[in-house]
Amino acid sequence: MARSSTENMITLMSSDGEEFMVTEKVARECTTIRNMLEDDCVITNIPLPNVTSDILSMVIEYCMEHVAAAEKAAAETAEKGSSSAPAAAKANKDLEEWDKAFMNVDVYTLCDLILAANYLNVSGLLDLTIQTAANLIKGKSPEQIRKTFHIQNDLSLEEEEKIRSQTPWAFEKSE
Amino acid sequence: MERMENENPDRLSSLSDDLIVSILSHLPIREVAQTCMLSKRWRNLWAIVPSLCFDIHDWNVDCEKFNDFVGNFLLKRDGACTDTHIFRILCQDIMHICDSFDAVCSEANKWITYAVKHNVKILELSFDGYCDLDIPDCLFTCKTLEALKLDLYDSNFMELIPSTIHLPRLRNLNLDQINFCDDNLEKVILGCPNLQDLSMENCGLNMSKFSCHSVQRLRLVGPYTSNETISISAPCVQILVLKCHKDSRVILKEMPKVTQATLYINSSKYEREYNCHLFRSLSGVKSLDISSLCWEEILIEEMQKCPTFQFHSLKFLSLHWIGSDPSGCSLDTWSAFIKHCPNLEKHSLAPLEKPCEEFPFATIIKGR
Repeated sequence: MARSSTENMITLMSSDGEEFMVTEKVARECTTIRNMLEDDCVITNIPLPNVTSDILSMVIEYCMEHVAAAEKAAAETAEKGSSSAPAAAKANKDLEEWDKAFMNVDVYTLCDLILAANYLNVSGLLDLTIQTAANLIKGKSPEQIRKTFHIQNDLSLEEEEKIRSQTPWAFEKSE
Repeated sequence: MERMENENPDRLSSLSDDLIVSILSHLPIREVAQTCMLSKRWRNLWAIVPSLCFDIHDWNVDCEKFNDFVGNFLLKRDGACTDTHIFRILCQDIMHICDSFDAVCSEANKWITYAVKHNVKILELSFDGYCDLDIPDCLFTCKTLEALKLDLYDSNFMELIPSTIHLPRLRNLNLDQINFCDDNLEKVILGCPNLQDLSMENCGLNMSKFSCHSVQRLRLVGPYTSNETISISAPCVQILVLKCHKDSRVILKEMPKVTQATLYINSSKYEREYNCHLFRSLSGVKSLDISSLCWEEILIEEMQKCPTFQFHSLKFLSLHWIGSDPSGCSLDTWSAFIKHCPNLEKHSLAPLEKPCEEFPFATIIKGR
């Protein structure tokens, strides 16, 4: 990504001590960091003890892509006026495709990304990861969901039976 | 966020309740309920999901099972004391299929009451078929409601409106296929002092006028009118979408704050008394999009009515013609009209590709 020399750079430090230099604009995609910057505008080094380096690098990749897309869209609007709907629709679609490819991760990484997006408050990434997790659950039987996410079934047979008898309406099949 | 040593850690179950509930909010409601079987951790999470959407088609329009599910689901949840921020009941396209639909309609009263009691913010009721939906009065005085969508095909809605309407937080009202007459619509609008978005699609507007003073985005698609004309006073509107049927005659009172207008005028008879001074009502518009069968007549009429009128703020003008290609004489009209827009930055004259194109409208009622 091109960086202008006048742009402020921020260093983000992951829980395992790795440092990531990003532009202030990219860092501001994280509402948590934006609030820190607004409270203390000279801050340049931010430790993030809840995020590992592999997850932090992914969050930064996501933010950079979305900042670049927003800048491109703004530049096009300024150039061509407001009525370039087909171009905007294509750009949106490209970004959606990018998001989709970005979500091609295992369930552990997905859950770590949900936690990081929630902690750093990156609303777009949080929505994307939550939706992806929902898609992995959708249409599956309880047994399949347990298998996908390695959920240990700690309910005894009696407890399972009790749930079924207390909530038969939840398991009723429609013809 | 150190990865556990365990070979197959269960990361999903270790997320906070809030995050798991956000994930559950994206699932069909039946699957939400069925997650109670996953493990002890999941036993009661389904009951605190704040977004509920009950679609009768998920039960293949089996009214009995649908009633049973919704009734039991809400009963079991009631103890959890959690807010229900989004509540939807979708019973569309089921005419003549379901004999026991009346039972659903009478139960719906309880379900809506449940939503109101649990501080609903977004409520959607989509019913059709000649149903006798009974809406409880408490919906019309709900203090938490921010967005309401009602699609009640051919219902007796007017009889359902209570004498007191007070929806202090309602910002978004979306009405579909509802018939109003006399002062009914105004009564509803007056009860919503903070209404910003008003969308009415295929509603019957059988009155000579109505006003909505707080509305900033107005979308009016295909209103049916029995009166000769209907005059609309909405002085604060900034974004206007007006898509009229052939025989609905809408007169816009001055809307000086409109910056963006999308007009779809499907009348082949553009008469002098119809929409008098349409353009002057939209004097502050910055972006104007007109789709019409009779655009040439409209432009000629408007220029004749106000020969000196100028669109000082207009920057973007696009005109989509429907029907035959504009001839040389039409193009002269077009060039003459452009002269009324001294600050135009961009204009286009193009055929309308999709005649039934839906225009974008800001709404906070999103998909599931």
